[in-house]
Amino acid sequence: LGEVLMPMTPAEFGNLIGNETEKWAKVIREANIKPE
Amino acid sequence: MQLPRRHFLHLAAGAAAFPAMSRNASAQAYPTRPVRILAGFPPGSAADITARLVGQWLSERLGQQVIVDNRPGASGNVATEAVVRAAADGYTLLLATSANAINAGLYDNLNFNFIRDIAPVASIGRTPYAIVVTPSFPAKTVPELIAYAKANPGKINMASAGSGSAPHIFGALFMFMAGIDMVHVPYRGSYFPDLLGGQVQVVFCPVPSSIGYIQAGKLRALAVTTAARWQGLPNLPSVAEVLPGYDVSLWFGIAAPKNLPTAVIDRLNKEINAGLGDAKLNA
Repeated sequence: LGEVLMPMTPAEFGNLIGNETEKWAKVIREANIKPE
Repeated sequence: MQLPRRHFLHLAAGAAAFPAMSRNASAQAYPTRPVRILAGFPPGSAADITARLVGQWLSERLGQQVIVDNRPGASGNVATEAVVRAAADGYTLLLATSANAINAGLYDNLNFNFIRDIAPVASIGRTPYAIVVTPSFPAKTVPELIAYAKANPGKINMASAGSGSAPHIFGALFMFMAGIDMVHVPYRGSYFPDLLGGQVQVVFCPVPSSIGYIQAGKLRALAVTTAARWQGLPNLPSVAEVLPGYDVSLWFGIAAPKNLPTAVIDRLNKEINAGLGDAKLNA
């Protein structure tokens, strides 16, 4: 699969999810991306 | 019968502690029946294979069958909603992916809030992407790609797996940070035939699905999208070496309905992390 494994605590994984959600929401807004 | 006051207080304290003891006892006994991992993508997809590998590992560690239940649809939203609606008892888990984070900003009509309604359990790993170009494309490096795009605005076609897909979003962030514009060309099926033929020139695609073409010289990789270089292609630079802060990849993890008892979350996290450190799952 070529995955880079990244063990985390639940809190760290929660932070990743939160940061990614925020990051992509900005990109989607800025680029005006719509779902298919 | 009248209870002595001291005896009554003792019993009352014991009764108050009972729910916590019961939760601990049930977490220690967990699981007593098969566990399901819902994957929002079809059999054979990276999400499905990841869920099966982790499921197999958990089956051995937990002593219960862990079944992967594929619920493809709406870019993972069908499976996610099913998990959000499930009992928070540890018997229904979600193979969470980057798509969940993307969908939260992409869809304004979801019946759930991913951040609010899901409990993070464990991270698994991430798949690096690469900027891959057709061999006849003039740019051989990321700076050359940026310079070429600036000199030829609107003339580079960037393929993706659909509007709002990871390759589209990853490309959009790159364009934003580089200050360039490429024409987005969404595909419902595979974009590889058109990329190989040069009808589209650029794609942000998972390294595992493009490495065969790259190694055969049929496609050229300009950079990997993770902040650091990928050990599988150590000579390939990272985008961040040119655009500091650019760090994107497709991640996977396990999530559960909110309010899953902390003891169960910690047990699953411990077992999954043990697997990530074990050669059997790491291979």
